[in-house]
Amino acid sequence: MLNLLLLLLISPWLWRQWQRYSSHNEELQAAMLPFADDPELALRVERETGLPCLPEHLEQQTTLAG
Amino acid sequence: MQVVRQFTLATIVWGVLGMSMGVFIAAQLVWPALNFDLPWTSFGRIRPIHTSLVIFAFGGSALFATSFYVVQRTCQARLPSDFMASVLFWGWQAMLVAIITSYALGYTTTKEYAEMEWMLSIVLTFLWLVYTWLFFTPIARRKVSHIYVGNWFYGAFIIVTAMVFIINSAAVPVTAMKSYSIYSGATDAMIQWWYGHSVVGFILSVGFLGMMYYFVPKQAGRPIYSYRLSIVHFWAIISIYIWAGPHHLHYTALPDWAQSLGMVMSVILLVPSWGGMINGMMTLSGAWHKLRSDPILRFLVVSLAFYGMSTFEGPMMAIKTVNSLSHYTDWTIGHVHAGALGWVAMITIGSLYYLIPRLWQRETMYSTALISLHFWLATAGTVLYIASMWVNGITQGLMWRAINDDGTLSYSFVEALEASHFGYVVRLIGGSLFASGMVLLAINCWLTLRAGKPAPATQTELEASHA
Repeated sequence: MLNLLLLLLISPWLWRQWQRYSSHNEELQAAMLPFADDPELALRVERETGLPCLPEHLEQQTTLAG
Repeated sequence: MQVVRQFTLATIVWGVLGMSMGVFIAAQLVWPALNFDLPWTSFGRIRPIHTSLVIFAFGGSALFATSFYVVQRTCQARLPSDFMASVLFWGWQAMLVAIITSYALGYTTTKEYAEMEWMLSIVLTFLWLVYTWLFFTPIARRKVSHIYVGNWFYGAFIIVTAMVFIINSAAVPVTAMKSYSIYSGATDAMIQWWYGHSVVGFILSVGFLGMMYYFVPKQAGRPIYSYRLSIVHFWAIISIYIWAGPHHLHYTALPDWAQSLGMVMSVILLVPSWGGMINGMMTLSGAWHKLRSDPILRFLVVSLAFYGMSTFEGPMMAIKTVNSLSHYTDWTIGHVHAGALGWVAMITIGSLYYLIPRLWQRETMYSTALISLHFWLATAGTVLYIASMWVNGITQGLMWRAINDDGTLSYSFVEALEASHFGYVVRLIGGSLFASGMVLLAINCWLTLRAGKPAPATQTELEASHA
C-alpha cells in the first residue's frame, strides 16, 4: 500500500522525466555516449550508419571536458 | 585508471585459479580418490571455494574493472578518490584470500554463495559501501546530461546486491568464526534463495548486462540497436528478477502460493531477458561481416547467444512440472554453466580483450591468432560441458522417478551415479578446454604487456586518462 502511495506521489515527476528524455533526439544522444571519447571511431560510426555521432553533430555536451 | 588496470589483471588471475579449481572438483567426480581423504581437499570444502573464486573473485573483479572504466568514460568524470579505490582493490583481494582460507579450514555458514562467516561478511559489506560511493560519485558529478544505460545496470547491480546480501547475512555471532542465522525454517530458506537467485540475477545478469551495453556497441562500432528497448529492458528486468527466488524451493516446506508466484515471475522473466539479448544481437545490424575477422566481437556475440539460451532454459526449469524432473540433477549444473561459462565468462573475456590494449596504450593484443584459438576452446568447452550435464540430468531424473509395478524404485542411487560417469568425463574435458583458454588469455595479456610497444597516446586519450 505504501509502495503504491509513493508511486502515486512521484508519478508527476516520472511523467516529466519521461517527456524530457523519451524523444528520438535525446535517445540518440544517450546511445552515442560510448563513442564520445573516441573521435576516430565516432567518425567511422557516422560514415557507416549515417547517424549523427560526433559531439558537434549531436548538439549536446558529449565532448570530453578538458 | 590504475584501479581499472589492477582489477583487470586480478580478473585474469582469479579466472585461471577459479576455473582450475572447477576442473579439479570435476576430476574428483570422475576419480573420487582425488579427495585424498583430507578434509581440506574434500569436494564439500572445495566446491564453495570454486564458486567464490569464479563469482566474487573473477566476476567481481571484472565488474569492478569495467564499471569503473565505463562510468568514468560515459560520465566524463573521475572517481572521487584514488586512495579509496586502492583500499577497495587491496581490501577485496585480502578478503577473498581470507574467505578461501576459512572455507578450506571448514568455517561456513552453509548458506550457498554466502558461506563466509559474520566477520568476513562485515568486511565485504564495508568494501561494498566504498564501491557504491566510488561508482555513484562520477554519476553525480557527470558532465553530460544523460546517464548511459550501462551505468543504470551497474548501479542496480550494486544497490540490490548490497540489499540482499546484508539482509540474508543477518546472524547472531557466538564466536569469532561461528554464527547462527536470525531466520529459521522455511523463512530462512526463502531469504537464502531470495538472496541466492538475486546473486544470479543482479550480479551475473544485470551487472554483466551493463558490460554488454558498453562493450558490444564499442567493439561493433554501432550504437545500441534500440536505446528505448534498453530502458524498457532495465526497468522490466529489475522489477521481476527479485521475485524469482522461490523456484529454488519447489516441492519443499515453502507455502505453495510462494512457489507458484516464483514460478510465474520466472516465466515472465523470459521477456525482458530476450529483449536485452535481441537488443545486443541487433546492434550488429549492418556489421555482421565484422565477425569474420574480429574474434573479440565473436566472444561478445556468442556470449549473447548463450545468454539467450540460458534465459530460455531457466524459466522453463522453473515450471514446477519440469522442475520435478530437473531439480537436484546435473541439469541444474549444466544450466548454471551455460550462463556462467557461455554468458558471464565470454562477455568478460571479450571485454578484457577490448580493454587490455587500451589500458596499457598498446595498439592491439599481442596475438589475434591466440584470441581466435581461445574463442574456439571456450565455445567447444562450454558446449561439451552443458551437453554432458543435460544428458546426465535427464538420465538421473528419469532413473530416480522410475518405479516397478509393486511401487519400489527401479534403480538405486548408485546405479544412477554409474550411468552419469561418462558425462562426468565429458564435463571434465569441456571444463579443461575452457580453463586452458583462460591460460591463453593470461599468456596473451602477459605478452601484450611485456613485448608490445606502447602506441603514442593521442591528445584525446591523454585527456580521457585524466578525466
